[in-house]
Amino acid sequence: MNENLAEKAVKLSLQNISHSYTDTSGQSMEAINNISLNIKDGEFVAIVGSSGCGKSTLLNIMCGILEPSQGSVLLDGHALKNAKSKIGYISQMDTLLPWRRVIKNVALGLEIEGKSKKERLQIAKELIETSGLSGFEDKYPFELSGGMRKRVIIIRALAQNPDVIFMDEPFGPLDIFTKTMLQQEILKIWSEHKNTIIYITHDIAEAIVLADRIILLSYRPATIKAEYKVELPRPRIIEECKYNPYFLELEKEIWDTIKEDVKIAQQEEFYNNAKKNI
Amino acid sequence: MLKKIFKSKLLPQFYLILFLVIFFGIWQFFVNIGSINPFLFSSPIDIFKDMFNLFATGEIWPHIFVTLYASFWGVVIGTVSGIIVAFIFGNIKILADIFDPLFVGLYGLPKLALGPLFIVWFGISITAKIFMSTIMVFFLVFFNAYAGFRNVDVNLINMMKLMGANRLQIITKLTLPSCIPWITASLRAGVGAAVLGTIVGEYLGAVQGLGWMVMTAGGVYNITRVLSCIFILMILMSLLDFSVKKAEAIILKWRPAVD
Repeated sequence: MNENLAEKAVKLSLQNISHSYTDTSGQSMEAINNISLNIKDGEFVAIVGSSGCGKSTLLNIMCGILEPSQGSVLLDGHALKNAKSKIGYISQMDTLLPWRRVIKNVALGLEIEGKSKKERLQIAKELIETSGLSGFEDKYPFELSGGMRKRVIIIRALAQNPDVIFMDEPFGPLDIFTKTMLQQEILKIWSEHKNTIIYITHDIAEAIVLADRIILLSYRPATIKAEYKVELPRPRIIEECKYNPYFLELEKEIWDTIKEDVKIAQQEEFYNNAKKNI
Repeated sequence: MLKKIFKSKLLPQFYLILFLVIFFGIWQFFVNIGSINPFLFSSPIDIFKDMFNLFATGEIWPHIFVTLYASFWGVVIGTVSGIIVAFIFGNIKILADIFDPLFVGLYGLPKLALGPLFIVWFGISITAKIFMSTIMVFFLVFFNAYAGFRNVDVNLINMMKLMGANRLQIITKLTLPSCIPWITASLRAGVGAAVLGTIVGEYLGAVQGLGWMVMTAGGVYNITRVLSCIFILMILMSLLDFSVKKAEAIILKWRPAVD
């Protein structure tokens, strides 16, 4: 996989993206400063940064939710609005529609596309079966555990068969066991569907075990601080990767690079909280 | 038998009945020993006799029907118009900005004070009562539905947009369903408000209805009749509230039960 990635076409291209916004006190804040990045077709890229560094802002720009102040995003060489490639988005939020049963939640994207009821329910049913959620088709989201809900969100994104999947700390609030299991599932899905995945996280270990490439962002304004190729062989088994000496070495290297930014981030957070409390 | 009751879920209902029996017992006792003047306070036995007669002769039914009829249309028209106006305001921000202070002002107004106007405009007719009832319901539903439309989760909107949803799809598949809990919440209060509106309408001018019955009986110092009507109204309200609660539970079965 890694070897022939070099020949693959560029799927998503960020060109000189900068973004600033006005905060509540009326001050202009620079969130992102001049980020350029090419992501190849079928590549699994993790974007790592400390909390509050602007990585979610970057992701929102990448998928078109947010218009950048400067620069452009190209998907298959076209502006996002005109791009034909389908994108999937899995955020850290629970975005299931609570009034829809599981099967109708999974079929939501297909319903929006205008697929016939029979077809969309069949696709949804198959996905539910392959993801081990059989028997839960007619449950409402509140009747599922957090891990199961995440799984429904993942297969809902897959139902539309997206070329690019954006994930924003998708497993943040889950416990470590559920998290590991779902990470493994993401790897399996990715190896089968060959989608391009852009994965945002602050968890260095998670980034290493999942991705081909790690983009490390500096603290505000976000710039690309470093880039790492992850040479762990595939297919990877998450629990085992973590004891690989290469994993430990890379984790330390990344941690050493980002340490300073984390410190600044924490000081800033402390300062902001103190300001709020006065 | 008693043990069964104490263990069952009906315990609160059991205590309620016990309370009512004791309450009416004491009332009757003081009437019997002459401490309470039955001309002013009537007596439970007289009230029950009167209620029994009202139902036995069937005299009460047209009045209940008229009051419920006006209240029903008040709920329907008030709810539908409340949702429509809230929806328009939710989508056209400039309209909301212009009319928000006006609506808040109208909401704060004691709408019952408008009653005489409606009687003048619509006459002593069912229309005046429906109008009174509608206006009571409208504001309750409007403010709730408006809050609902404005509180649609932006993450869900983004999710739908990225899935390729157009504006209409977002409205039908997201905005409207997510407002349902807000609307049902206002509906329980709305049903009470609707009956209140109708009754007040009937106080002011009517030829039928429970409110009219209370008014006419009061006019001739028939306290027994006034109290029978009030008890009938209380029972009616409990039944209505119970039905709305049941309907709400069915409509919102996708939400975890709050206990």
